[in-house]
Amino acid sequence: MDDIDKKLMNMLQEEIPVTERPFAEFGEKLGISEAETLERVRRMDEEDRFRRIGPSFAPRKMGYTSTLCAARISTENFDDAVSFINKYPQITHNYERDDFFNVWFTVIARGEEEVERILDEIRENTGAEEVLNLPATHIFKILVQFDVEDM
Amino acid sequence: MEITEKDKELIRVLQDGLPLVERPYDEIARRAGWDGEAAVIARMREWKEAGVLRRMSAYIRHQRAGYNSNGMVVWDIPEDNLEDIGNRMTESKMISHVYARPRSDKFPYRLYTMVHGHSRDDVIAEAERLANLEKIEKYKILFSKKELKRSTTRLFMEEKR
Repeated sequence: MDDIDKKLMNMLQEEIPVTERPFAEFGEKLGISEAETLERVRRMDEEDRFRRIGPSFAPRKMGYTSTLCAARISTENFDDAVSFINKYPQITHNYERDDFFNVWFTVIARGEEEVERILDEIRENTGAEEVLNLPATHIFKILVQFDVEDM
Repeated sequence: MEITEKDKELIRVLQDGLPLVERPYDEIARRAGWDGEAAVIARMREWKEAGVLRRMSAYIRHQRAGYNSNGMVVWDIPEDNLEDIGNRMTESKMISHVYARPRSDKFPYRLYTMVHGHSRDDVIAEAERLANLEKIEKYKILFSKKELKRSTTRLFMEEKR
């Protein structure tokens, strides 16, 4: 990746405009043509540098409930418990973390009842000693942008 | 804002990924059965205005870019300072998410920040810098030990015809 690729990658992570020719707009900012911009993006895509290129929606504005949950799961049945949790399509991310509460997962569901039902099922079936439900009271920032210019 | 059935079809198509072509929203309109590029752009701008669509963007494979460390840093902050500190934390380029969550007896922290760095030391250094800057005495870094599941959020899939 050269300097223009890196700048382009940073710009793509920040926002892709909702306009007729978004790649022409990037090209203008970078001093290159639309065709070259597209060629660079496609090449980086073929090199599997992107997880995805698409929309970030706010589930809560669309009738969904979203929350973060924390569970304490013992080592004895860790793998089985994690498999049980992961099978829910409503559970989108799940991470093992180094702390008393060692399993942290996000839930996006159609309402509070659905979240509680899922958490109750998890409590019953995984032997999780505790499961906390920690829905955001305020979101200050969501912007996933990894600076690649110092790569 | 009401999300119509037509909207849901557009959302499903967008979630499949933005086509890398000169006029991507023209192609999206075709795939979603919408009446052309202008209608799609207009509706997406309405979603943006309403906060339904945060943005269109690219998500990179960050480990390939050398970002190997991710820490959830949680902060114990008095309620009166929450808004000011939360807003200032958004300025850090190493922080992708800043959320306030309910303080639990079992986990007494109010502000949650996701900090990304090239190494654990980088994440620790950023947490220390912010703790000093904001004069926060109690905070904790929960490093991710293992990614157990990561799936792309896909809304309205349960209704797909």
